[in-house]
Amino acid sequence: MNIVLKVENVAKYFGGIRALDGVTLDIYENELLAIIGPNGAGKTTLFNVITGLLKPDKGRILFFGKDITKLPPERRAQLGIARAFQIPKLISSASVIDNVILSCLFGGKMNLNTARNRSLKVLEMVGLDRKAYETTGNLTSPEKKLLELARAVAMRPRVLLLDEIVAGMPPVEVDNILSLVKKISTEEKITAVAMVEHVVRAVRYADRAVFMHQGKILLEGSPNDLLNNKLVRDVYLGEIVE
Amino acid sequence: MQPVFLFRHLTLIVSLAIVSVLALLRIMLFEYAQMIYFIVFYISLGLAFNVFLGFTDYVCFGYSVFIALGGYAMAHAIKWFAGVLNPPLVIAIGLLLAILYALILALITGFIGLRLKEAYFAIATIGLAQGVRFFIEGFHVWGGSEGLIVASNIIAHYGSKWLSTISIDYADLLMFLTAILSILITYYLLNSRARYAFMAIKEDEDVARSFGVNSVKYKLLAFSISGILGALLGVSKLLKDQAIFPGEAFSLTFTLEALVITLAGGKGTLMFPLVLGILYAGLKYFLTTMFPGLQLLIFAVIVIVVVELFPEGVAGWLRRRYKGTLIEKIIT
Repeated sequence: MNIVLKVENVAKYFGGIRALDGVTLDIYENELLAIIGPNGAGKTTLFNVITGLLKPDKGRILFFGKDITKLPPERRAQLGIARAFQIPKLISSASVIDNVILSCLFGGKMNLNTARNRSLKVLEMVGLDRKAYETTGNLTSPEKKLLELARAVAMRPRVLLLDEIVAGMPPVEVDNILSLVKKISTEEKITAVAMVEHVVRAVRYADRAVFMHQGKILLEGSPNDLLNNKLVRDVYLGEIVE
Repeated sequence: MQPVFLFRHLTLIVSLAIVSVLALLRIMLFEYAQMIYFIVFYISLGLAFNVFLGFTDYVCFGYSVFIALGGYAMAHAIKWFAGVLNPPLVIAIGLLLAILYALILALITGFIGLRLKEAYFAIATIGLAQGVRFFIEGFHVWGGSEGLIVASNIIAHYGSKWLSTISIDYADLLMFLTAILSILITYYLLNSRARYAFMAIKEDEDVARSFGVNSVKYKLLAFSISGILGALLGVSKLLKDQAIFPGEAFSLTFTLEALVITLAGGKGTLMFPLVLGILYAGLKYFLTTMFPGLQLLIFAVIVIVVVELFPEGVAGWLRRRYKGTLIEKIIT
């Protein structure tokens, strides 16, 4: 399998805190990788370094073999790295479709007409097509999460980074969104990396999983292996109820 | 077609119609030419300032420097080329110089300053106008603190008839053209892909960049356009006054007036700064005529009341008042 994204010995320090401490990770084409770990493990920092919002103190990021460590966030987005944020960062005063058109125009480098058609198609995929011309601020919380996902998918990324997109959601919604992510990533041939709080559910959808703790990747393997690992249970899960 | 798109076209038609009516009144009612010039100046000032503040949420407190540079550019053109070329050509060169001066300043200050966040950029620009002013006065360039007076150059080379033609007809024509250009540019920005970039930058610059928006490029674009439009205002003002003095040209007054018009109207929209520009000019003209000496005091009270009633501007108030309705969507 081709390596899409390679994180090579990346470190990021905030004063004395080692948010990332020599993280090395290969992400393969068309896989759905789950990143699990407790709060403060460095998962969001890792996404910030991959997308370019933070510069690493050490190490490098390779995208299809090309070193992108020094590229600004906008160039990385144009190359095909998309991100959905944990707390939807949408343009609340704009319409739903305008939020999606934005990512098509700039991340996907489409013209206005193509962007509009693509946006309608993606909104249909996530079930928001009937609200396309509503004001974003008037959407419900789960709808905003779906729009955040649609916006990231619309630009036809090669890698989709999903930052806790199901955090704080009821189990039914979690299943809906995760199965939607799986469906979209398969249909659109997008490599997806998802930070998932609901680890037990994540294993149903992910092809592979990594476990992060204190800025390091401690384990990597199949989701089931991680779920049954003693370290993961001790540090993160406690007793599995389900 | 969605109502929101229809409304955007309608705002362009109405805006151009308002300026056309003013142009017609200027031709038909010559005795009101000065007042109409005054109104069109504030329409242009509000719209020109709005291109930067309205589309990026960045405030340039040194905006008057662009108006001043436009004035100096035209003064230079007259000083250097009067008698060599005919008056329309001298004015054309003055316009080109004004665009060049404004563009150079916008690119230099913008390239450095626009990497800062909104508040820090605003602080950085406070010193911009005063810095340029003290440079001109301190180093005695461009006439130093005495400024540049071009009336004598015009009379000496073209005669006094040209003096009034330039001061009245050319100055007014340029002011109308600046207003129309400001309207067309605002309309274009509201209906092109740039609109999406600006919306994203205003909401969250880091997120905008995560979706491929080159935020520095777009902020620089808005800053440069706004600066150039300001310089065109300065050109017209120089032709009207036929002199420029640094103490007055670099004062904070125009920046503050532009802020009031843009914020009280509705930043990032076309119609609201335009209508507020008319109201502001009308009110200022009325107060200056009716209560000379007291106009600033009365004006300050009115501004405070308006800001108190409409803290998000009239457009923002309407959006909130009619949330969830068609009105909310069409106010753009």
